[in-house]
Amino acid sequence: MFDFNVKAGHWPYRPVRGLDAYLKAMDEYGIEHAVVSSLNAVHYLNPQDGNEELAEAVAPHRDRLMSFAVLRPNFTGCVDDLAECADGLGMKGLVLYPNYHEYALADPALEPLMIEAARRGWPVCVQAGLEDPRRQFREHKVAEVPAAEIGDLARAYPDVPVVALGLKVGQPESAGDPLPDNFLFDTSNYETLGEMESAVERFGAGRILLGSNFPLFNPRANVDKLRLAALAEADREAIARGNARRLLGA
Amino acid sequence: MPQAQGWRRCVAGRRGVHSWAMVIDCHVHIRTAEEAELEGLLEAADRAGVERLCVSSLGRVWSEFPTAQELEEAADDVLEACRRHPERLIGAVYASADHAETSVALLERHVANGPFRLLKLWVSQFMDDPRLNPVVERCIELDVPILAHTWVKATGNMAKESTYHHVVNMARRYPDMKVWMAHVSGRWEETGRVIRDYPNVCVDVSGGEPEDGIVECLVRHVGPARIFWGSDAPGRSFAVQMTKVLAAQIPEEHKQMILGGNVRRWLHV
Repeated sequence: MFDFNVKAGHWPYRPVRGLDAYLKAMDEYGIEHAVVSSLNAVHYLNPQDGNEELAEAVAPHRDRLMSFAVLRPNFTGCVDDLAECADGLGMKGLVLYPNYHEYALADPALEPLMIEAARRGWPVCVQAGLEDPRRQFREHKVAEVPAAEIGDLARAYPDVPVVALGLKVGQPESAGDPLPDNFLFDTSNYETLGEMESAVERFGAGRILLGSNFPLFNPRANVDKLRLAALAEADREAIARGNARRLLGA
Repeated sequence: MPQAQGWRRCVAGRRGVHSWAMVIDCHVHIRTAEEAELEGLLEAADRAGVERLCVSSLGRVWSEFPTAQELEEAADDVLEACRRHPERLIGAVYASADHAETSVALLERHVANGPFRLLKLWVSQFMDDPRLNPVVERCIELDVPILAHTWVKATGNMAKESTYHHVVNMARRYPDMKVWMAHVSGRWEETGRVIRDYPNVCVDVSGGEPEDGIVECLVRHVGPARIFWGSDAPGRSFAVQMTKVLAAQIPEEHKQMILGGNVRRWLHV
């Protein structure tokens, strides 16, 4: 399996487990490879600090862990940071948090990062929902990124694979009809009875990536979601690893 | 472990996937008693290794404040479902303080003189509403546990949606009442602390996102015997919700208690 949605770092609102625990989970559940991004970078003013921490943590495990950069287009020097993430830190993709970093996906300031991602063949992930809004027990609430805006981003940059992370059942439909060919989503928060079967029927297995959202979610939830779904083996295999490998040229 | 082996490994159960004695989902809903709906539910339960399901109906349209007739229809649907699958389904009376007489009558019909084993309360009253007193008293006489919806929502609760405080108020009034609070009340980091001194209050972990650490936190505060596993299917999935227990960093015997042993003790099944 290839887990396309793993984070590493601290979470301000409750204790979370670290990469060591995730590596053990990989062994236990048969996860061969994973994409990891910095959770600290969600809250740092300068997410590049989080990217640098992540690169150091991931370095001993490069045979299993691939890292993506978290960047914000409204922070000076972000395009240089992307180059450093790619060329210096060996990162292979980009994760955007528009609602935590307070910008819109339609903001022209995002364009240089998207162009650079396209030039490098990077997938760009957009974290739609990261927390259950009902459990944001604090003054500052962070809304979910509407799937429609992620769909618009995919249409604006047809050469960039755009991966929506954390969409719920019923939300991919909002990304437009027809969905852009370069629009994909992960399984992490997509849940109802029979969710995988209906998702494959509705959208095709080629758009769906296994994602755990570790450490906010337990690392087994999405493994079992996929393992126990009544899917054709070819579809299960595509979601489990084939689509991730295709996106990353692995 | 070799990767392919890891892929095949995991839960087990009804069809031989896991080794638990019996997995009981304490929190499942049906909308109708149509066989297609029930078959879909049971097929998914089979795949996840769930042996028995406690089912309630919140009516066919999930009214926030159901009428007496809707309570009756809900009971009829659950009864029909239980008749079709008596070996799998454990029925619940859906009750409301707005219709306490009807609720007590449903207890008589379906628990005292029928196959149901529990009572379900949703969002039409706070759990400490005194109009519920006769319903609770009859539950105590019948030794029937109450499954009480609870949530503490940062986004704001519904008009009469109970929190763990409402449940504790009622538990204080009726120390012999057996009640389990659904959804860990949402604010799971605090729930165990709130109910710790009320041994007649248990908690189910159904619904919500599969956040890491929920069960470990509860075990720390109330021990493993007061935690029930539930899914809230079909809104949630058996497979995902079960991982809250399966992936928890707790002893295997505690997992076995949570996945079925504890609720069996309360339901006498």
